[in-house]
Parts: sequence; C-alpha cells; structure tokens
Amino acid sequence: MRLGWRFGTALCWGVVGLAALPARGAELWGDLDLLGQVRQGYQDRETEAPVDLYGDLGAANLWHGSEAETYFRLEQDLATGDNTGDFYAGYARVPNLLPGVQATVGRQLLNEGPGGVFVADAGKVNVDVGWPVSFTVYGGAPQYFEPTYSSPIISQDELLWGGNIRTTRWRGGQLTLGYQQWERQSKVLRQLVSGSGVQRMARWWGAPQFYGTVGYDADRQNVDTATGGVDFTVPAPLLLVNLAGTYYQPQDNTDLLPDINWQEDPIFQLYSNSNLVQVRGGVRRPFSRSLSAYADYSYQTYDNAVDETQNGHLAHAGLLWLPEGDGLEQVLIAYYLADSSGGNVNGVSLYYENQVYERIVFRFRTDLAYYDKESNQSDWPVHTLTGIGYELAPGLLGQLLFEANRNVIFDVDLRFGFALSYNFRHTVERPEAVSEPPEPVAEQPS
Amino acid sequence: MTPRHAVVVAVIGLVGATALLSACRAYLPTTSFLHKRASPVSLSTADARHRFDHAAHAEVLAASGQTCADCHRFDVLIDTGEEALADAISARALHPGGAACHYCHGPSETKMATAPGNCTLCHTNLQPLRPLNHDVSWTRVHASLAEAQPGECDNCHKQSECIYCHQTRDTIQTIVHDRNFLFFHSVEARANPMQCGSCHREDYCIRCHQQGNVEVRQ
Repeated sequence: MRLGWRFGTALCWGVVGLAALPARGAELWGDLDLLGQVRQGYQDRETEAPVDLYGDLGAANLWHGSEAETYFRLEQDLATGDNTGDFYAGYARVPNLLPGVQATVGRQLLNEGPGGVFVADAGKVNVDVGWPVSFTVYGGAPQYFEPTYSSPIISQDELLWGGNIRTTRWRGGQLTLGYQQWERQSKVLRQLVSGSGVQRMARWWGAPQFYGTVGYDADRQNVDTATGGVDFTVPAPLLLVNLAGTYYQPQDNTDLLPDINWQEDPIFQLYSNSNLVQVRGGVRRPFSRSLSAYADYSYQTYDNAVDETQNGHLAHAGLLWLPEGDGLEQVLIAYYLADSSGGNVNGVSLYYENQVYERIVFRFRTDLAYYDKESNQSDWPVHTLTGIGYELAPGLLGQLLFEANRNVIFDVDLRFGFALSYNFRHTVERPEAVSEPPEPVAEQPS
Repeated sequence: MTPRHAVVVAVIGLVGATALLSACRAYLPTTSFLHKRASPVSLSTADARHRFDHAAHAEVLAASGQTCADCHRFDVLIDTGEEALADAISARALHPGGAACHYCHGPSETKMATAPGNCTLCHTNLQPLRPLNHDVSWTRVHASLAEAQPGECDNCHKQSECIYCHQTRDTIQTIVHDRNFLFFHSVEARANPMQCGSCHREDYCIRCHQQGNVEVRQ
C-alpha cells in the first residue's frame, strides 16, 4: 500500500471517527466529486481515461468547539493504469484549547504575511487573550503536489517556521508584524521580516481601503516583496476600483544560475535577472442588478538574463449578465490579452449556465484565441465544453460533459466525460440548546 | 469561407443563441416533471437570528453579569389593535439584532477573546456579507489582501477552498487555466513571471518540456 493511500485512509477514518463521537450540536459536512474523461493524450496520442475522486469531509462544533476537515484527490488512469499523483490535506482545529488559545495541527494551508501560501505538515497556535494584539506561532514542513509530469528535481526537504503579532481590536484596520524562516535541505532560503496592514477610511470620498505589505529578507539583505494598493468606490457613475503596485525581488543577483534548490522562486529566476515592478488596475461597473462590466489591466517590467528590459501586458475585460438578477442563469462574455517578449495572445470566451429548473443544470463554454509567438508559431485554438446535469436525488448531481476542441496538436480533439457530485450537511441536534427566549410581554395600550 | 471565418461565424452564432435562450426564460415550460427553481438570492441576514444557543452562553453571560434585559427589550409600548402587527413589533423588540452578537464576537473593538469570530458561526447565507472588493479583479488581487490580513479569509472560507485552486491539479476540469492556455502559456509566463510560482515549481515545467515528444500537427 502506497504511503499516500495510507495517509488518505487514516485521514478519512479520523474524520469518520470524529464524526462518530457523541458530540451533540456537531455539524458534519461532505462534498464528494467523481470525475472521469476519455480522451487522446497530448503527449503520445494514446487513449487516456483519467478518473478523479475529490473529497472534502469535515466536522465542526466537536470537543471544545473544535473542527476537523480533510480534503483529498485520488487519481487513476483506467486506460494506462498510471497514477500521476494523489493529494491529501487534513487538519484539526481547537478554538479554545485554553481560554483565548487556538491550536491547529495537521496538513494545512499557511498564509501568514507576504511570504506566500504553503500547504505544510504543521502546527499553529494563535493566542488572543483580549489584549489589543494577538500572537501566532507556527512551524512545519511544506509539501508540494505537482502530480502531472512532475519529478523530485526540487527537494521536498523543507522547513518553515515563524510568528507574527497583529492588532485585533483596531477599528477599520489591522496591522501585522511578522518573521518567517524558510529552509530547504538545511540551507536558509530566506529570513523574512515583514509588515502588513489594512486601513479603511469610511468617511473619506469613495470610502477607500488601503492595504500594503513589505517583506525584507534579513538573510540576503534585500526587500523581497512590497505591495501597496487601494480599493475605492466612485459614487456616480457607480464604479468599484482597485489600483495596486508591486515590487518583487526574491533573488540576490549574486549567482546567475545557482543550485535550483537554493532559489526561492526558480520559475521567476528562469526569466528574470532583476526585480519585477508591476502596476495594475481593475474596475467594475454595475449597470443594474443583472448587468455589470469589468476590466483589469497590469503592466510588468523586469530585466532578463542578458540585461534586456522585458515589458509585459495582461488585460481582461468582460460583460456579466444575470437575467432577472437571481443568478439562475449566467452569461459571461470576456476578452483577454497577453503581450510579452514571448509573443501575443488575443482571445474571447463565452460562458452560459442555466439552473432555472430545479433538477436540471445546463452549461456551455467556448474559448477562442489567436496567438503569435516569438518562435514563429501561431494558431487559433478553440475549446468548447457542453454539460448537462440532472439531480438524481437530494444532494446527488450527475452530469455528462462533452468537449470539442481544436488546436495545434489535434484538428479535432473530442473528450467525453462525466461528473457525479454528492454533498451533505447534517447537524446533530443538541436538545438543551433549543431553549426558547422568554415569551414576549406585550404591554396593554394605555 | 476560410476556417477562421467559420469559427468567427460560429462564435457569433453561439453568442446570439445564448442571448436568445436567456431572453426566453419566461417562456420556458413548467410541467409536472419540470419545476422551476425559486430565486436563490437573498440579501437578508435573518438566517443568523435563530443560531443563538442560550445554553451555550449561559455560563459566560452570568460570569460577566449580563441579564436578559441587556439584550432583550421588554418595555416596548405596543399601541395597536392589530394582533399580527403587535406580534411582529414584539418579536422585533425582543430580538436584539446583530449588534449584540458582534459586541463580543467581532469584528469590533470589544471582541471577547474566547468568542469565536468566524462569520459562518451564525451566518449560512454569506451573500449579504460579501465584500465589495471581491467583485474587482479578485482572482488577481486576493493574494495581496490575504497577505495583508492574515487569518481574515478563515472567517468565511474553508481551507479546502484555497487548496482546491492552489494545490490540486486536474487534467479533466479547467479550474484556473482554460484548456487553450497550454498552447500560449509561455507568453503569459514572460508577461508576468511572478505569478507562476504561486502554484507551480520549476520541476513542473522541466519535466513536461523534457519529454519533448509532443507531436505538433503540421
């Protein structure tokens, strides 16, 4: 039995065990999705039949108000017999282990400041005892899951630990100071001293919310990352706006091609030999409850390995129509653009979803792009997806999916698939919890 | 007609058909088999009203010296002869509203340390709580907000929602990138090389490019 299966099995049994505890008032939930597809592979044109099982099982309001959740993906290709990789995460959280002390243990998502997000086998403790600030300490081993075509080229022997202190009772804002150390194969990748904050100015014009982060790498003595931005509202015509700028420099420029295991962000270093500066803006214009438009643009500039400045442009714009404004139907028409030294891309997409009938779901998506790459490759790939689903029983939805694509590999790429989704929510009632408030005492009119 | 023209015509036809389908919604038939769904959109926070558990709060309220009258009003003068209206006013007066809950559970300056602060503790309908900034380029900027306010996302979102996009890989669904992205990902990667590393590592690129056996249609 593979290690992953053992881990997954243990997680599932753990959640089932927790759910079986006589915890009155406990809330149980589960979302299970079984997906399958038959297609020709892009790599070798052999028939592939991958089947995925996604699961999200959890229980809350257990002992001391604790909760446990596991999320996993099991994958098997029934045609080739390959298993490109499974994924497991699962954690337990006790919100009041001691008064004001919350502990989380397990394979969990760590997002603690401008250092980015990690899934790690970790423990985290948050202490909030009613002071104006709270404290968090955490530590663990990051885990990476690149199942498709992946390899162990980059070591998984990593350690991440740190802590932060943040304001918890500051009206309209939050300020956080933190430290994070990241090691790979016992070599320090960074020692990030960070500060971040959010402040809403409700009485200012447009009720802006300012936010910013900065991370200084004390090991390499450079600013790794800094971001500043603002969200605000223009009252007439009604516009929701976001403007932001980012500076990114996760390398020290002393080695052009250092050991890949010494790099914080190897993909970035593959392209860039300098810092990257980004400015971006986004806007949304709600015309009515059922119609809105949006646009987003970002500009990036950096130097590549031969000290040549590279400029990149990314843009998206779209129109979202919700007939009758209730979301039972969605129509999204979008345009996107990418322009860089690698070439340029222009594309349009259309998405339509219909859930007007109680037990029927219909969706359709098409995406048409034209690209022209610096390698003199150009083509106009087309992707279409049609799906129709029927609710077989409460919480159980079956869907048939059909894809018809055209691209540089296939004149016609047909894919047949299915999706079976089941979800449930269940509360174990606590009889004594249903205490009614006192009967109303309506005074007689005088 | 060239293939490119055919595709453009097909796309325009599909857009038109979709618009027609949506516009005809009112005329879709309803039979014994086909029941139309009730509108799922509700901007009311009333779903949180009945989540209060008096038994679970008894100890902490007694310890802090709170009485029934600190949350409920029993002194309201109801000057109406209409029984239904009187009932409604009475119920409204007795219901303390969200301010009483948020006094201890936050977000507030008076948040009690031991009181859980996650919105989903009481709210099941999160639609009215959805922040406005989630509607502006959110997939592109949410990382900055999440980093600026560590822990805030947990108030409404489960970890699995983050992991679903960031860590799981799927060749059946198109979760983050569209199917066509494979063919021009190099253009986007060079436009913004900062974004790939938030989910991928370099061995993902190396392994696929090293395979070198992708046959391109001539």
